[in-house]
Amino acid sequence: MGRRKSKRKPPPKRKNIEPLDQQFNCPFCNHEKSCEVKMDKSRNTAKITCRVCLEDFQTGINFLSEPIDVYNDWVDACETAN
Amino acid sequence: MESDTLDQESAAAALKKLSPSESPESSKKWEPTSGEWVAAGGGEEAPPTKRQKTADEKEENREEDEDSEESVDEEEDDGEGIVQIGGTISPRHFQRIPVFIVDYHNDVLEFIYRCFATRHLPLQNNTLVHFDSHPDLVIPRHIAASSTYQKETMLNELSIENWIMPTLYAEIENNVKGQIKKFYGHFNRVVWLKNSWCQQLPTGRHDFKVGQKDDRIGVDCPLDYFIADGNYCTTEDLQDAKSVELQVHDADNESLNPNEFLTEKDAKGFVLDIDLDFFSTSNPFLEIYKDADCYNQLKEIFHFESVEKVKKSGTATIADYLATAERRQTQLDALKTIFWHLEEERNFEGLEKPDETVVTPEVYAKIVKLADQLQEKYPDDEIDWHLIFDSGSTTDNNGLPHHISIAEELETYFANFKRFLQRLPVPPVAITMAHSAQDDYCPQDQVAFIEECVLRLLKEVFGERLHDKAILHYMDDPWDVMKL
Repeated sequence: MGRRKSKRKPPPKRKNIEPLDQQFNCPFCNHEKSCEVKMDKSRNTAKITCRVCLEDFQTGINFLSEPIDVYNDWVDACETAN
Repeated sequence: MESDTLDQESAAAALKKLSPSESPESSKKWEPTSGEWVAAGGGEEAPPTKRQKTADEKEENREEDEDSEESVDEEEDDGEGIVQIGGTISPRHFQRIPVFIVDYHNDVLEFIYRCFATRHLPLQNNTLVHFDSHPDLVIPRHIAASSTYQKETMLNELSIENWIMPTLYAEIENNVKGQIKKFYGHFNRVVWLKNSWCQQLPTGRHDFKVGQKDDRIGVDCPLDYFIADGNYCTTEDLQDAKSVELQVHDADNESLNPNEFLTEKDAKGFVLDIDLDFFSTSNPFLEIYKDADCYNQLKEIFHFESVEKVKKSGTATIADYLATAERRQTQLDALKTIFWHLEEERNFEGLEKPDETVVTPEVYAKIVKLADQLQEKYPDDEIDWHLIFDSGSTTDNNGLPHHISIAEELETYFANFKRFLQRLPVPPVAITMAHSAQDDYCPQDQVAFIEECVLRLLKEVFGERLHDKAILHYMDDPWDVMKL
């Protein structure tokens, strides 16, 4: 194709992107890596639940969201309340 | 991508940090005076607060979980409206303006996408102010329009010349009032700021539509730039079309005033993007197979009749645009067949002669001559016909600029750049920057100096509003948008 700004040299191969963490420390019971995120991309929602204390939180997501974003929303909500 | 190791730290840091309404940044309005950004009285409204999840709310949420479509709150329809069940989510604000520096320009998308995900930038209606010697507005033909919501595809498949257009089209699904709604485009306005020695697009404002036709992104903008790539479509042919605004300005004069295209309303979605080749650029293809005068020969081989002449005569019709786009597409396809054959077979044997109305005998003879001269000057295993085709594709009517700036010129460009920053009505949410040195668009012996000067100018103008340390993606600096 008519590429006006083509690469002269191939770029270095992109580093493999390691999957981001799926488990996080619970802001309620403080257990390490006890919170898991379930992303429902078809409904644009996600839920994070602590398997130890069963606290949970649900939030909206978009196609760019990562589990860490759901966790951060939870942390923000707790922090705002406190 | 963000560093994995920072995720947990980030969340822990978030627990400790001030809430948005307590943040010292959240109640300030910033106004430029004498080149400095100072806090002004009155304040913006603090972002809406979020409710604590109480036991009652938990119960509520369990019910919502069963039927969340009825219970999801809406915030806004402008793309910030990512929703939180049982509460309202507000946009986030960087404590200071981050500066994210990559080498290959398309890598800035890693950062921008994270800003969308964390709500530091709205999902829609953002403005990209793009200092560069190249528009980077090529449309990637190999990527389906329906893939524009696949982040990994975008990050892996886009490259330096085509990373912007998919963000103008991007298909976005968002949850509004419990219903999934489709939107198009993260950015709805691009302002390309260039020096006057860049001629790829005419200066002025170009309003057009971007959409898809047969699952390929297309535009109804009859500029040579788009026609030459075969991406022009009629408005009627575009589906899921969305209006975008492209402004092109020469930045090498004292009259450039950002207030002509930016207002305070743009504050929450303004990304300042700087390719360091804006200040000094080379055309790397000039150096390729120079001993065979390759580039000049390619210019003749890839020449096509522009629609500009007809446009200037005032008689251009949509049929003219379509015919030109089709002719160009056919020409490029035919040339590609020839150059791909040469790459595979290393000679013309077995090549079916192209349609003479597409590649004339004169042009074909020029290709044969080019092959002879290359083989005379270079060992066969050094001749990369794919690269030569790419090189030829860049030679169309308003080809790549080549302007290696001398010290005095650089000083002038830096002064213009600083003046521009001082005149900004609002500071950017984030600043992205590209070295473009590995791909040879910014001269390697100048890039470090240019980066240093640009960072200094940013610091002089934005002062404490700017992060002390830029994130050097090209040096593998770890980064986390939640910590900025």
